[in-house]
Amino acid sequence: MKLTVKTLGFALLATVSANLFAADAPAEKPAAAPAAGPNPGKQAIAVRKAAFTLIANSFKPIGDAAQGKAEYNQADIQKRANRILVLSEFLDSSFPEASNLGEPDTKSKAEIWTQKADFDKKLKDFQEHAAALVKVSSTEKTASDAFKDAFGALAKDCKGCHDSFKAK
Amino acid sequence: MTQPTDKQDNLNTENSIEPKTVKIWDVPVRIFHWSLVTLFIAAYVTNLLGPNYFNYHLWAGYGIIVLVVFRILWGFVGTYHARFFNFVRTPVATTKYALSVLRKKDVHYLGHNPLGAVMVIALLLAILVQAVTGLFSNDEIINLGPLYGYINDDLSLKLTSIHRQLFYWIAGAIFLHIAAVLFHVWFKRDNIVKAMFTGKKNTDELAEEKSISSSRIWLAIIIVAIVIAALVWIISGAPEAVSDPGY
Repeated sequence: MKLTVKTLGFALLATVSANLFAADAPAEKPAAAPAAGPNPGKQAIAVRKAAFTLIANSFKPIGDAAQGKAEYNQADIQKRANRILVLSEFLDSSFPEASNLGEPDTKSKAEIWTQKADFDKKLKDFQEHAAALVKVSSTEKTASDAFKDAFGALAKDCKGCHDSFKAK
Repeated sequence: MTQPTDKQDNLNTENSIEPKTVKIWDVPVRIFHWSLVTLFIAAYVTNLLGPNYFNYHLWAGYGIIVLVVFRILWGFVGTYHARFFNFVRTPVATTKYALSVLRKKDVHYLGHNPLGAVMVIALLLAILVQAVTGLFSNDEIINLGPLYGYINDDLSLKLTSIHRQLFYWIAGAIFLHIAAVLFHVWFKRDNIVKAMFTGKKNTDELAEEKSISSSRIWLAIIIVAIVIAALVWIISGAPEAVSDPGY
């Protein structure tokens, strides 16, 4: 399961990069001598935006189940938790210094790079809690307290990082 | 509670041990004030606890809307000291009052003084905006405000931004409010905190005409019931937010 999701993830990465070549080319100051290749900062931004979009998509149904708005379907929850875990790995390498471009390119705040240790710790917490949710969803057959707690911990990581590092 | 009816009574009470008291805050105003304090703290804490506590945050917000809308209406139909027309002053009069406070020559007010009036209006409006923007918010994790379905996501994120930042302004205003209250209690020997619990103030003034005789509790209950019904109607009539298809 994990392997297939991983493959899917890399396929996504490849697609995003390919799109960037196409999308960014005209935007790059046409008057000056065009830089060769894509802008690595913007590329990283596109990758993490894609990852965050998919994390949010995967997380919403889990939240609905945790909050009693939807039925708990173990296989589905497990599938989505796995996706979140894999997608969270993209965040390890998608915040290079070159991608500190500020708005409107990115809502990532400069504090990510000035408070790198805190950012890294928050990201690590997120990944660990994503792994915990995968584990919990492999055993829990209902929307149990253990599942809700695991979901709550992960949701809190989202919020903690957004509060500190996402421009709003 | 003593209500002097003539000057003779007033002279007598000055010599007696029992201080002369006058009732200024009706029961609904006092319940409003301390409920708002409680719910504001509850809203703050449930936000800190994380997205899993959103339901409680939502209920705190509903409660705050009911309270603030009630208080605004009560500012027109409530008892004497609760009415805006009886304590809100013109900017010129308010400035004059502020200057008189600096010169330590300010007139004593039984109810809200003109500067306090500015804070009452500012806090009521800011907290109302805070609560209403919350109804349209998107936390960009899993929670959507109940009225999110009425607007597009860009606007929702703008309102969410206001909802986040206005909090700090309100917290600052509350800090100022508490500082001013403590100034009254410590330096002006006017225990207005106690008055917000008991509704009564000690006074030497001939202020019997400003003492309230009834809390108009039934009127308050009817207003609150109508406000709650209106809120339920608005929330339940809102289009459901387009939920994620979960690809």
